[in-house]
Amino acid sequence: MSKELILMIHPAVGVLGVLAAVWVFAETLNASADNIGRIRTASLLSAAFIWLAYVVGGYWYVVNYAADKALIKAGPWPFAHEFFMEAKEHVFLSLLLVATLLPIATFADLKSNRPARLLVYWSSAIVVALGLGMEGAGAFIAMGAKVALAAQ
Amino acid sequence: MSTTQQNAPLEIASSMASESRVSRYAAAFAVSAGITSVLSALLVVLKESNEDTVLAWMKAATGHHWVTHGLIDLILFIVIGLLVARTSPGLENRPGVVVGWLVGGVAVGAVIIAAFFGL
Repeated sequence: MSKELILMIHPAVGVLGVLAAVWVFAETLNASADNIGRIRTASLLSAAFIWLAYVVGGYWYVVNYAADKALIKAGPWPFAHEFFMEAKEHVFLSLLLVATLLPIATFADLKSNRPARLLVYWSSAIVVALGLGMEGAGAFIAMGAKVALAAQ
Repeated sequence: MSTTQQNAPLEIASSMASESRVSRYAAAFAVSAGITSVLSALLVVLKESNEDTVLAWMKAATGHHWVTHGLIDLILFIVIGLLVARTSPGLENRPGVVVGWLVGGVAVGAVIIAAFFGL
């Protein structure tokens, strides 16, 4: 598998994790006996996709990123690495923890338990917010590499 | 009135109480996620400010500092979650506190990291 394809899998599965968290949030607003199975399935999917994004992105970062890092830092957008990549690689770890928490939070009687629903709302909202932040930071990093290549 | 009928209101009240709280492990790991996020951000500051010692050790431990950082975070998340579940039995009755630890911890951790690299 080419390293470029591996790199594309990272944001693709990341956005699927975000979409699954939106699904959890929306279904929990109308939690009932009919949709509790869907809520738990979506929470497990969200956690699985975020973990896959972590493993795939982490592999690419550890094995292949050094050349891009040097390119970006020498280009016109060094902040794409110095701020966006540095912040992204470390804030992602919080996203991973909250994505892991989400299925734990959904395995409760959400239909009649408002505090349990509250925790699901906030957990899924954090996954969505941080996940979108990761996607945005990734766009800055990709553009940092692009403008560095264009400047050569 | 039979004993069963006399106990019915108590059983209903007990059932309602158990249904209006977060489960023990969900509460404990929510608090753990918040605490671990802050500790992780502080580890970022520590390792980036001590490249010859902390960062060098983290690189040597697994081959890459970020891999070591992730492992430390996961171990902290599990250990703190289990400790909180054992030592804070009333936490599941305080959902506002649980959500506060989760949201506050993740936000403070993200702000520390953004400020460290952005300022």
